Amino acid sequence: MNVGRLEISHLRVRYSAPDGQGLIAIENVDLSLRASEFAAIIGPSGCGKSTLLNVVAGLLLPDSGAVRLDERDVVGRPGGVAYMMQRDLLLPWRSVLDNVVLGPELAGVPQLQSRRTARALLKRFGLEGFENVYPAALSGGMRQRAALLRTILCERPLILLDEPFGALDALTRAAMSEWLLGIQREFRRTMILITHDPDEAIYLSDRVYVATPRPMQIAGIVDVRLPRDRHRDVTLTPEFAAHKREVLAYLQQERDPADWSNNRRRAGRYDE
Amino acid sequence: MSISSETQSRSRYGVRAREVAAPALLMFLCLAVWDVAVRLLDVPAFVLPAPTAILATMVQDRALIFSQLQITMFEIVTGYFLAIIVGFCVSVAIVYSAAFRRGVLPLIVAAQTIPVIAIAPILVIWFGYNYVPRVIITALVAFFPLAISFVTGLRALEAEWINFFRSLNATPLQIFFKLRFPAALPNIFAGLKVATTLAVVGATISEWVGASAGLGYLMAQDSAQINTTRVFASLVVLGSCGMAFFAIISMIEWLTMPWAFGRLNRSQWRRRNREQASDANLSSTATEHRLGRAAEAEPRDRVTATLTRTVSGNNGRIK
Amino acid sequence: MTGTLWRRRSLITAAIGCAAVASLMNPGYAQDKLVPFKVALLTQPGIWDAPLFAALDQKFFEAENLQVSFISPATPADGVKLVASGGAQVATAHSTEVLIARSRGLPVVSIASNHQYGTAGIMVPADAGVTTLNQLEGKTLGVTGIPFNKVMLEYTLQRAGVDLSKVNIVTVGFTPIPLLLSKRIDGLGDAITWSEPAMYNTQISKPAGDKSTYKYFAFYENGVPRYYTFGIVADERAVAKDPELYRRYLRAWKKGLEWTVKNQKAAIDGLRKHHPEINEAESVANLSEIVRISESPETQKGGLGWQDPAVWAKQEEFMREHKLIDAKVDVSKAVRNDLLPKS
Repeated sequence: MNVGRLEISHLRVRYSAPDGQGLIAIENVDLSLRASEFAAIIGPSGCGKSTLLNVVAGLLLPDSGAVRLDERDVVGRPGGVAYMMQRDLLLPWRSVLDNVVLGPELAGVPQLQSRRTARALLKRFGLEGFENVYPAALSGGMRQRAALLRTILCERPLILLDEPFGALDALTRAAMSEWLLGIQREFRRTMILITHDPDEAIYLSDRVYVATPRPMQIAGIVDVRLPRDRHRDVTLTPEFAAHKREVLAYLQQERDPADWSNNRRRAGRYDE
Repeated sequence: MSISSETQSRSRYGVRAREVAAPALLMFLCLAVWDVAVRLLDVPAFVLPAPTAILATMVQDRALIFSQLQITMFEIVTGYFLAIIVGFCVSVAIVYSAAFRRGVLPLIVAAQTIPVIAIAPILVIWFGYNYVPRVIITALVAFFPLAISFVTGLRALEAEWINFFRSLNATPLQIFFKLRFPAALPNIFAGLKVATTLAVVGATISEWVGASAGLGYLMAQDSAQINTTRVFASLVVLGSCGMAFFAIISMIEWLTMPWAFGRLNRSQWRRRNREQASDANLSSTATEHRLGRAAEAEPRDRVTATLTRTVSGNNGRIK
Repeated sequence: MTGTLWRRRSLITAAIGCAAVASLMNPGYAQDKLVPFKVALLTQPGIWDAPLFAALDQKFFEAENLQVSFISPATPADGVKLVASGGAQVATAHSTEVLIARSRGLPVVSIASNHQYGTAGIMVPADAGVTTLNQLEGKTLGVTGIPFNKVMLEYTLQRAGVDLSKVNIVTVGFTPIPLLLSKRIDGLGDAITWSEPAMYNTQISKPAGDKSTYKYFAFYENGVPRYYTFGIVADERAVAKDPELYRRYLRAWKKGLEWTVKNQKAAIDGLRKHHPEINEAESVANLSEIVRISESPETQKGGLGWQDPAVWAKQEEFMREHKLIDAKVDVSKAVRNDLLPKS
């Protein structure tokens, strides 16, 4: 049953740097997600967050550790998750509609059905009327939405998002994250989001994982105890501020690593 | 450059006409100066014929020139397509096989430095006395820039695109046909365009060594008979053919790659979408920016509207 | 001490000064007295240029105060163009080229001729079993592409009653021997007696002068009007301005030709010192043939290089009939013998 339950245990990833030395990118990361949960990973730049997503997507082989999606080992097996990368990577020579059906097309799904589904969803994604337009004519926000529609149409239970709103301005980003939350609730996919923005992380997710700089470990886990149906105004509530304080504390701790192991023990895992 | 769409569409043909008129006028002026100078300075015809004399010869000997042109055109087109096929195969091999690239590519480069005139008699010995050696020479001359542009185009892809396709579990064939090849098209067409003129040159040269007909052969004969005027006439005809060939490939490029020429969408030339008409002006970045903003405004309202509808329908909660 | 140093220095300076003055006065080193004279060869230097190189090496040009330099045009037809445009003082060109040039308004004139006969013809290897022209039907002949040669070939064949549509005449350029050897062509349509036969013999490892390995049909022995080859061509306007300059050149040239006729081996060695790539065995055979055709009954009377205007007139008629030239050419302006040294 594909519901998108993810279990990452004792993940250790090393890659060889150009100078020949082996660099440890990820050291002993554990992560656990239930179906339809939304996790955010926040951390400084270059700490290995994208590497983590690459391993989950099956593009990178870890040194040791296990990644299980719905009880299946997905290490080195691409195609199990839908991965939205930092750049929207919309093919410039295809129209928006042709771009968003790329996932099913590559998987061999009959085009007629997937195109019909895509057309129906265009309006929901704010792209109505643009199905025959080339990506070059779209604004940044529209491109991200098109990329996300493409990711959704891949029909995978787990979706990985690598800083999807990084290139957008603050106003657009706020609207986009509000809209993304709606999409996640509607389509009920499990999502992992990488972001630099604590507000975005807390607003969108059920759990925030704070990552250390390289070699990446989980400095702390913040459980977001906000209502499932969240309005935008929730960012102004005291609960939100408390979570944010916690997240920021973990982020500051990288400068003082003495306490973070304690916090890790406090976080614990979900039992099922 | 006009910014508003109305002015753009109205003067589109005006702009085109202006673009063509300027170089045409310049060329006409040059020809006039040339003609007058030749007459005034009493330059003999065997040194430099006057444009009017060249034109007269072109008209007078048009049957001969045209019949020879057909022969040369056959060699040009056949050699060109042969160069495309071989160039494509070689470039795919170079991109996908490191062994091939290390072993064969330096040899190809070295082979290019051999003057074609030296190879021509050998080819006649190998392939007999017919059009085959000439087609091969044409292909040899046109092949190198083709292959190099193909390789550049196929290699020009950044790794993240490949990674993205891999994350979708794409097969290597899918990666090639749906990603590498379309991404390489701008470079491929650049190579194709360069090769058109080279194919013309190659075919002409091939006829100097071992041919009994064709425009290159006619030029050699006329040169030997000091009929410089007809040599120039043949040159003009060949040059025009080269230009026409180039234009045809450019036209194919324009038709094949609408996204690269600022065309908004695939149905643009069939029917304009009312919604995009007022914003559809990509010739200036300001307008492009405006299009982005305008398009952004609409959907954002739609998204918010959808949310509001959903929200209001659920007593302030998003399901 | 200083006095001796000064004296030594002044002595050396005086000596140098005297030597300089003396060298300037020596006519042998007087650069400004030698007139530069550019000579365009037919194409790349070959055994047919032996008399010119002999004249250079034996200092015959120098004796006439001519500083001769050689130019190699890209194709044989370029020589007359060079002369007419001032790029060279004289060029090597056949009477054919001169007539064509004059018909196009180039003011060139032939002032002497190296060869008395043009011996182009059909060459067929002996093993093809061709003994008469009619047996050429069904065969492929390779020609260089020179228009006049093709006309002569077709005229010869037609005159012998050969059906031209049954003979495959193809243009092969100037390297026909490999094609002949590989049997791509059955014979050469416009070989020349002092070139291809020797080359062919060398390739089939026979003595260069062996005449039994091939059958040769010379055009001028088969009805084609006689013509002169390797003529010396100059611009008529330049000649009118300074005829003495050209007389000097012809004097030196004639000495070179005479010397070559008498000293063939030495001439070949001298040429090969300048151009070692020229094959020695072939050169011996070729030069003896060249020497043979440099003399004729006319040269006995008029001296080496003498040309008969009547021969030119017949050739002009032939070329007009065969559409190689459009308008009638005044032969009296195309050839002159008055600049030749009196023998």
